[in-house]
Amino acid sequence: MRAALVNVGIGNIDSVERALRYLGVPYHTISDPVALSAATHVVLPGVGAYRAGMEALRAHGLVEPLRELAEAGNTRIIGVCLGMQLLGTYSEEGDCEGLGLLPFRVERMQADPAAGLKVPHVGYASVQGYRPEGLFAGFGERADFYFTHSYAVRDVGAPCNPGLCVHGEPFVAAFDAGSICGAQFHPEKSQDNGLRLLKNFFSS
Amino acid sequence: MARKRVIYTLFYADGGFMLSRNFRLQRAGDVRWLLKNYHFETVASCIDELLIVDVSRKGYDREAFLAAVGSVVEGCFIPVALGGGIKDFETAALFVESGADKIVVNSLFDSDPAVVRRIADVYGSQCVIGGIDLRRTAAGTVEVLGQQGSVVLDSTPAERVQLMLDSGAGELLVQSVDRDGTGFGLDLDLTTVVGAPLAAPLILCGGCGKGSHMLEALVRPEVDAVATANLFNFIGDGLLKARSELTAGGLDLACWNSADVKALRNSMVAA
Repeated sequence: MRAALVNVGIGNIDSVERALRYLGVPYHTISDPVALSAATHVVLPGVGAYRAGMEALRAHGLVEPLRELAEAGNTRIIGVCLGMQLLGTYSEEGDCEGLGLLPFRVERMQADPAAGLKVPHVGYASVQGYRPEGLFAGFGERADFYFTHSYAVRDVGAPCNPGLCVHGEPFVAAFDAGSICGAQFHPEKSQDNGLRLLKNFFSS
Repeated sequence: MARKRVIYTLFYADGGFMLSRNFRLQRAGDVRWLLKNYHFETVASCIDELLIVDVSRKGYDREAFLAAVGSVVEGCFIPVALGGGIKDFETAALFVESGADKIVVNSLFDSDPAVVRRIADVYGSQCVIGGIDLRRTAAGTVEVLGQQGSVVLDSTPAERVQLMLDSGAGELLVQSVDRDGTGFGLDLDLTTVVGAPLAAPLILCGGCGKGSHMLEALVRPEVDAVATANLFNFIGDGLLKARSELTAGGLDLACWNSADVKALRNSMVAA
């Protein structure tokens, strides 16, 4: 296994690195496409604005190489938080096109102050509805993860064993679509649940 | 709805970690002590959030503070908030860029509220915790203290909280100076004093000495989280037991398996 952690300055990667170190995953951080081709697993973390995320990937020449990796299907790719959203075709945030590795759109979450529904959605929340296999191997019926986001994916648009979370409307908290995976939450801030999910990602 | 939280607070000062009692500090040990003799990773595996506050009195050495933070959080997989004497945007940005999910500000609301607004605009208000230190007077009123508890501010607690929310705070840390470090129990009535229920999550702290103290606070709808800085009452598996007590008491906390965090260490080595 050779894991590549994409670091193009979209958010702090320290906590993701700590989780990889803790699990004992051999990885290196990359910011250009050269090192990407040797990886068996790619982690794409990110926080912040969608457009800035896409621009950073473009500036580092990673957009096409990531599309080619996904097309070839031999490399496991996981997007985390903004990184997961970037895997889709489009986001309402900044009216911006994404990597398009999967056919999903990213929508603004709707707040409802009267019902106590706040956006951004911040804190621990339950994820359920998945089959306990792949990314969710070894999980019980419900697992709690740490979220902080204002945009969400309602439907991945591909078979992917999604784990769902409800904040007003249900949204996709994580998915495993064969070689491409995503987590809207922060597995690196979700105790054993997050560590287990990452371990599952690297185990296949 | 977000789940109720148990937050653990560490006070750092001039190279060591401290105990605080009524805002008077006493050195407890350095980073190595915290990790080794205090088994901090056990503590970290059964809390929802970690808060580390730089209360250095001999001037702030942010590099040393952040190095200590780095060592402490190496085996922590929860959100981390950092605070202590943040006077400008650059320090807040440095904390965030060093991995803080949230920062705590207090005196900055007096010295430069526009900076608080800027931090909230750049990183989101969920990143800004407004700290308020409250003390009961002999006359039965509650006063707001500033400058690490050394001065009494003019505003009432409710006014102060409104100012913090208006300036961009997305969460409030309400601290009882009288109960700080005593382990006598949280001052539950402070939630009324600050005008709860509020538009932002409220963290209550000061005086939490055992699980039942956390429970009696967290069952209140207006309390979103409790924080404790009590190093010795919760030594060993103290927090784990407290957490079970909270769950048994009917609170729907996030579910972790503390032992599994440890079991997963190095689980991918040579896989």
